[in-house]
Amino acid sequence: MKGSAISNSIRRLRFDANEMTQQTLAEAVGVTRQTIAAIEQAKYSPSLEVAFRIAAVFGVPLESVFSYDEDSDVV
Amino acid sequence: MAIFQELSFREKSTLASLLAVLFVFGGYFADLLAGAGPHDLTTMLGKSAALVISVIVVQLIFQTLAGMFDVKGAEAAVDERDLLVRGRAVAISHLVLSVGAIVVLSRIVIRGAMDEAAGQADVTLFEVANLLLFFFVLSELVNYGAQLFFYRRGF
Repeated sequence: MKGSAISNSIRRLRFDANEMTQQTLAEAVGVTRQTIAAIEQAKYSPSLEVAFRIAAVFGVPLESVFSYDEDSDVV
Repeated sequence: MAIFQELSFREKSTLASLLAVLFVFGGYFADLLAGAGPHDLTTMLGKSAALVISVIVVQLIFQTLAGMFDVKGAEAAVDERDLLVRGRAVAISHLVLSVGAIVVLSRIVIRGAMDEAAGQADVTLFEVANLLLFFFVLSELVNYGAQLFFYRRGF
């Protein structure tokens, strides 16, 4: 299976934010901890709304959290 | 056992549902094939209703027990990923159910045509009901299996 074309920096951002836990981020965003874990592992691409909420929690623009690899084979 | 512990509450719940349907209805169809199951439609419908209630009771017992050990997981609201996983799984299971419906209809038409040519009616409601039940159970198993697959593998 090919990986997702969307990658993210959530793990690093959590680390930089006083080592915020996945559970804390999940509660702030309004999803389950498993969903945050799945997003971090690129097993799930969140909706635009959740993506914006994650960026808002860290106080950074969306493109600082998520990036899209245009060369990826994944459609 | 370690892999079971790393499953989320929802994954455990889905696995419990899958196993409950598999064992309860698996036993029913094993009996049927062995000739030990019901032989008429009324008995079959009664037994099916009892089996459905059994599955629901097993699920309730599991949810209660699992919820006692994982309060946070049990109380967590369903989020967009859960809904997407369920939606994808339902789409696949509906495909199985649709194929089942076509198989049952084909069976009725083909067998009916053969019986008509032979001058007898041999497609019983009992047979049709069991075939429908089989494909319904199969679609439920596919639904739970697909949910587990999408939860573990991602999409």
